[in-house]
Formats: sequence, structure tokens, C-alpha cells
Amino acid sequence: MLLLFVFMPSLYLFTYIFSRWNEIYVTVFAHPIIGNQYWTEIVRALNLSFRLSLTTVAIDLVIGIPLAYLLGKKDFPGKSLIEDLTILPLVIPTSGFGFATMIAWTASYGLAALLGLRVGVDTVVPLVNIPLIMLIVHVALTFPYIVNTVVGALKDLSASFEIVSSSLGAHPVTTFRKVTFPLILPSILSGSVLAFARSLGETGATMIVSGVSTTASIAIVRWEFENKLAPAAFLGAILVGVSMILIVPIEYALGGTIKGRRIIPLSVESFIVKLEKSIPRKMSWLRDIVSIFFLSIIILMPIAVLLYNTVIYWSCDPYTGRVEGGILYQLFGPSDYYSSIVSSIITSLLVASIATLISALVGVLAVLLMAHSRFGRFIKVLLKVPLVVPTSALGLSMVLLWGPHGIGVVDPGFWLIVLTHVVFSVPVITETGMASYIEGNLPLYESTARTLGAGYYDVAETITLPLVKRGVLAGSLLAFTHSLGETGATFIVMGEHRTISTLVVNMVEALAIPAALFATLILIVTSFVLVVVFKEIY
Amino acid sequence: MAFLEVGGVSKSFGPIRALDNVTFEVSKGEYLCILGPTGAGKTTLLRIISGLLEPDEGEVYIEGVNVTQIPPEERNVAYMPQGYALFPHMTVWENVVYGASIKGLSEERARDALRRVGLLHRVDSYPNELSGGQQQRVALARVLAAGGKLLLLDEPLSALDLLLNIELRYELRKLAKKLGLTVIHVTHSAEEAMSISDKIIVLRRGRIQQIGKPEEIYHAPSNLFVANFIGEINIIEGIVRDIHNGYFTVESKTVGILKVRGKPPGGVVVLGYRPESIIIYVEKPFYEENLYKAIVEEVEFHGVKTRIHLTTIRGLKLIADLWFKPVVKIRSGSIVYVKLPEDSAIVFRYPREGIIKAISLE
Repeated sequence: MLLLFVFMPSLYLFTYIFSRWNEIYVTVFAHPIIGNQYWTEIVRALNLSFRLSLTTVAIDLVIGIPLAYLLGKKDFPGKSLIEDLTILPLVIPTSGFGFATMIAWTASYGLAALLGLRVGVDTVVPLVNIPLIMLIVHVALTFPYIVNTVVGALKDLSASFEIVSSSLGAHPVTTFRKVTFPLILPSILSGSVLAFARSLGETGATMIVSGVSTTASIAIVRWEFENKLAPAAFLGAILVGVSMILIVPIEYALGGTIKGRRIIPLSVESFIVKLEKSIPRKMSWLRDIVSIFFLSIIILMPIAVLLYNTVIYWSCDPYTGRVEGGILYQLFGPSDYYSSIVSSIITSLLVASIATLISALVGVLAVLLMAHSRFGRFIKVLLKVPLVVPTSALGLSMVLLWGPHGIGVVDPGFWLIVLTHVVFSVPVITETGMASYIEGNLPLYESTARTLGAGYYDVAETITLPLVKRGVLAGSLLAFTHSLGETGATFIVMGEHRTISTLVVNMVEALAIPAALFATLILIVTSFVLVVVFKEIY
Repeated sequence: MAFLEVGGVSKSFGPIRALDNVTFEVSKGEYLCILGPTGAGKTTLLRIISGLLEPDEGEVYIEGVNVTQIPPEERNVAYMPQGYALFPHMTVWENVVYGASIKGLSEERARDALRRVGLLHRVDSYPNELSGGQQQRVALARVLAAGGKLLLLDEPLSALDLLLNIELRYELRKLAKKLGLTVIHVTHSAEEAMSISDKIIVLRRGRIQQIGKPEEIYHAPSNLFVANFIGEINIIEGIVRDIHNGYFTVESKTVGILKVRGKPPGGVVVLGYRPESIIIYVEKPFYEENLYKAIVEEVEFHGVKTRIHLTTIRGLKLIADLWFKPVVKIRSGSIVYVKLPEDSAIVFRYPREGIIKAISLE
């Protein structure tokens, strides 16, 4: 029953659209004044979003697979730092990270300027026609999905396949192409789907770096603010639909190995093998260096630039020398950003704590249900849905469902934020909870306990819960950081309240850059601390 | 000329000396087992021969060529781990043709290899659709098609249950001989090693203890460790008292005076008796030399043999195997007479580190 609250919002958009189809049809396609203007905008936004997400995933794969290979197969000093850096984008508040990336690339002393290029939010990547900074932010925020799933797959893969392949005469590159890659392909696919869905739904960072371009999830937020619910709901439903179509079949298909026929003809194949043989074996360090280099550019550099800026802007604007341009003045001066930062931090912490607590309770019940019910697998797939649904669409759905236009129980504001965060926190917790259930080989202990005379509830209390506790705890921490940093959905459901991550967006929009610097720094430091704690627990 | 020569190979991992000056030869078509307890360095040795590891010292020669510095893919040596690691995403045909296509050999080799292992009709199956025996045959065909002449097997049968293990063991040897492969087979099971190999190398703590035919190793082990590891043995320690006429007598605290054939290797000796060489009399026989009174503790029925656990009146515990059905029923509590025949003792000098350490598997 409780889980229904988790699934329902994702699906409610469809109900909403069907029940008001006439109204929506008129507004979107046949408006008396602007005609099908909304439809044109929807198509334009979707077009950009899909181009962006596909390009992002493509770059993710190019960066992510070598990096995963490095992390999954080798031990080297500083490895745990690299691991932290790849978890960071998963927990970092996206609006803050977007802001850091923006200043890192556009500032007069940023990387681009050093290379003699002029990069702004309006700089466009040729060929795919995507704003450059938007692409960089999306890659930085989504590549960990690929890295994490592929590292997991590589660690699970028995080393003997590669050993056998090389003893049969295959060059390491050939071995990767013909043996390792096909065997980890399912994980690469599921990582790509997650990355794609995340990129499609990314709102917080995108809003900050978007400039004049509008992606689908930003369009939803804007329309909702302007109270244009019809086109927003329509676009939201399209996004939810696409994400679900992607995730459900792939999740169901996973588990088996992918068996393929040979497509490349033998003559070409032997040519490729020869080519691969000519690659020197000692080249692998090059691959490692390049992947670490990318990592530092897209993750480390923004954070470093942010730190640097906070320092130089601390008391006054470093270029004009005006005190009004400094962080201290903005925080404690007439605009009094200090009190709004403090109050939004309190809101954020309260929301995150309450939402995580509720989610942990629901999550534990869900783990028990998934482990012991016949529909476990089905529930597992359904619980993936909130993870891939674009957050702004989810937020919209929550407002429409619970708010004044729907059931009318919860108005936008504090409690609706909590409710929304519960929706995407429960799947995070069940995910890690289930992982520890399976890895801990719990069915074995449970059946042992049953034969020793423990009843169903005894087993749950004495065996299952204590053993999945760590997984649930780690998941809760992840959910907590997620909740702290969530922007897209929160924007839509927050009403008059502000969380710290939405406040950063507001500050950037109000051009209060120094205050934004300070708030962002707080966010990033907090999430880095939480990453370290998370690794300690897990 | 030997097919494979390993000369003075040593390898350390940090402070642990995994291999210490290992030297041996394998001739063409020979089936060699490397036998040793866990941690003896067996797998390290195999990985050095295959080229996956480089030795700290020493050389590996294959057909007279020094291959120590050559990467695994250019050695023509096939390494097969437990369960054979058939590629699960490829069909039988793709698995077998894999090495051939990479080395630019003809596909006909793969077809020929599959014909020789009798699996030409299963080319389109995936490994998970085959039985254990069929998987083993595919793995052998894969090696053959890749032009591999030396096959390295790393505990190939260890994960299997006993019946399948015995069946596949037999087939493995038969096929390897039929296909003319030179095989190095690593195992920790003495029984497996003895039943399958032409020659056994016993490895312990990175050092070779003995190289020899299975019978030699069983009946004439070079030290106490090998004697105990290759098969169960009763151990009696004592002091040499008297030597004459090709015999010597040993005084032992736990049995008394023992007469043994041969020359003593030192003043303090350890005598080993295999369970099947001990003779049990229900009534006191005529001839009293090397005869000791004992009480039966337990009788175990093993089908082909009957195992009897005994304690002599001086407190020595012994195991003895009877290969025929005893005429008079022996049950626990019975008093019997045990004979330790004078020519079936395996004699060692008393080890400096003590018996327990000398036979320890660590």
C-alpha cells in the first residue's frame, strides 16, 4: 500500500492528461491566439534534450569505460581519491556544481581563457548544436553511472576469461573487444540508460548554465511557474513515458548474457586483429592518464575555481575593489543573504531528515516485501521508475496530484517537498538494501533460521533486518545527500519555501554571484564530507 | 630434447617466497601433475610457464626456445582454469575457432578439432547447454584449434563432485593422449594426481619435494611430508639399537622393539606404515616378531575395504585396512594382534623441525 505512494506520482501525469485531454489539446495544438506555439516549443525543447542526452551518453561511454577499467582492474596510490571523485557527482547538489562549472569555464582566468578561447553559456558545440557548458555539466553529472555499473561488472567478471583469451593468442585489445566487452555489455547498457535518464531529467545545473536554450525539463519548470499547466503536463508525460520505455525492458532483459552472431566478415576480422596486434602493449598507461585528466578537468577544476573565487571575492570585488561586490557585504549587507542562506539550510536539513526517516521505514518494508513476495521482481522494476523519471516532471506530477488542482490535500510548500523527496528516496534505499540482501546471501540464513523454528516475523526481526541494516543505512545517507541537493522537483513543489540548492539558482538568476559562491561552497563541502562518511559505512 | 624446461625459477610476492629455485623438464606428450597443498606455489608456477607472470629468477624454455620474456599470447601455451572458462557469450563453434581466427590459422583446424573430440554436432550450442564432460571436450578442442601444444590445467576438476571428477579425469587423460597434447595439470588431490599422470611433481612452500612416477612417489617418498601427503600413513618414531645382516632394530616408546629391513639413515628414525601393509590377526600367531597386542576402537565399512582403528597396549593409535572380509567378525572392543611387517616400513631420518611441522600442510 505504502509503495503505491511511490509509484503513483510517476504515473499520475498520464491520468491527468487523459482526463483533461480536450483542454490540453486545445492549449497545446489549437490555441485560439497563439495556435500550436506550445507544440512548437515542446518539439524544440525535446529536440535539444534528446540531442543533449544522447551526446552526453556517448561522451560518458568514451570517458567512463577506460576509467572503469582503471578502477576495476588496477591498484595504485590515490585510487580511493579517484573513487571519491566519481561518487561526488552523484551526491553533489547539481545547482551548485552547475554554477561552479560555469564560472570555471567562463571566468576570465578559466581554462578556456587560458587556451585563448572565449567561452560563454552561449558557446555552441558544432555538429550537434548543443551549448558547450551544458554538455560539460551533463557529462560530469552522468558519467559516474557508467563508471559504477561497469566497475561492478568488471569486478564480478572472473579473471579467467581474459587469461584464457590471452593464452589462446589474443592481444589485450582483442581480448577486450571480443571477450570482456560483450560480457560487460549488459552493465554498460543499464548504466547508459541511467545516465541518459538522468541527463534527460537534469534541472538544477542546467537552469544555471542554460542561458537562452531551453531543455525539456527546464521548460516544465518555467511553464509551471507561469501557471501554464497544460503544456507542462503534456511535456512531463512525454518525458516520463520515454524514461519508462527505456528502463523497464532493459531491467527485465538483464541477467542473461548477450549472445550475438558474428557480424564482421572473417577477412575484415583478421585485419582488425592484425591492427590490434600492432598496438604496443605498453600503451595502457596513456589510457589511464587520459581518463584521469578528463576527470580532473570536469570535476576537480570547477571545485578548485570555486574555492579560488570564494577567496578572492571574500571582502570585495577583486577587479573594481568595491565592497558591494564582495561576499561579506552581500551576506550581511542590505540584501541580507546570510539570513536567507541560514533559513534555507535549516529547511533543507529538516526536509532531508524527515524525508530520509520516512523513506528508510518504507524502504525496509519494501526490502522485506521484495525479498519474500512473488512479485518481488516486478516491484523491483517499478521502484526503478522514480529513479529515472525526470525530476521536474515528477515534481509537476506531485503538485497536480496532491495540490489544489488534484486531491487538494497538500499545498506546495514544506510538506510537499518532503513527500516528493520521499518518492525518490525510497528507491535509493531499497536499492542498497536489496544489494546487501543479495550479497549477504540472506536467503540461506533465513531458511536456516526457519528450520531452527523461527516464524516469518521472527526471521524478519532477528535475521533479515540486522543483516540489511548497513545497506539501509548507506542508502539512507545517499538519499539524504540526494535530498539536500535536489533542485528540479523541489523548484516546482516548494511554494514559498526555499531549500539551499534552489536558493543557489535564485541567487544566480538575481546575479548575486558572490553570495552564490559562498552557498555553493557550503553545499560542495557538505556533500564531500557525506561521501567520505558513506564510504566508511558501505 | 625436453619439450618444456623450467630452470631455476624463483618468485617472491613481497616477503613471501612463492617459488624457490624450481627446476624440471617435461617431455613431449607427457602428462605431468603438479601436486601440493594450498599455498604451495602451484598456480604461480603455472602462471609463470604461461607467461602471465614473470619470474624473479630463472628461465622457461619451450622446444628449446627461451620464452621467459615472451608475452602469453605468443607462447602457444594454453592456460585453462577451473571450469575451463568457455566464453559464455559465444557458441561452441565460436569458442573453438577463437584462437585459430586470431592467429590467422584456418577454420578447418577448428572443424577438425571438434571432430576429434566428437562434438561436431553441437557447434551451435552455447556452453551452458552442454554437460560437464562436453564442456571439457570443447575446451580441449579450443586449445587444439589454436595450435596449442602445451596445455596448462589449473585445478580443472576441483569444483566437481567425486563421481563426475573420476569420470572426467579418465576422459581427460584419454583425450589428451589421443590428441598428442603435453599437459601440466595442477591439483591438490593426491588421488587425482596419481590416477591421471605419467609423472608427479610434489611442491611444498615453493620448493620441489620430489619428482617421480606415481608408484615411486607412493612407495618411495623422499621425505615425511611427501609420504603423508600422497596417502595416509601410520607414523612411529624410535631410536636405532642394533644393525646386522641387512636388518636393524628400533626401540620405540609407543610399541616396543621393531625389526626393519634396510639400513638406518640415522640414529633417530621415523617409520611409516601404509594402512594396507599392516596385518591383523584375531588369534595370537605362532611367530612373534614385530607383533603387538591392540584393542579395536572402531570398525568402518568402506565397501571395497574395511578400515580398523586400533590402539596398541602402549597407547599407539594405528589405522589398518582389510581388503577382504574377515572370517571372524572384528568389532570395537575386540582384542587383536597387529603385525608391522619388517619389509614394508618406509624409513626416514627424524626431521629436525619435529614430526608435526614436517608433515604440516602450511
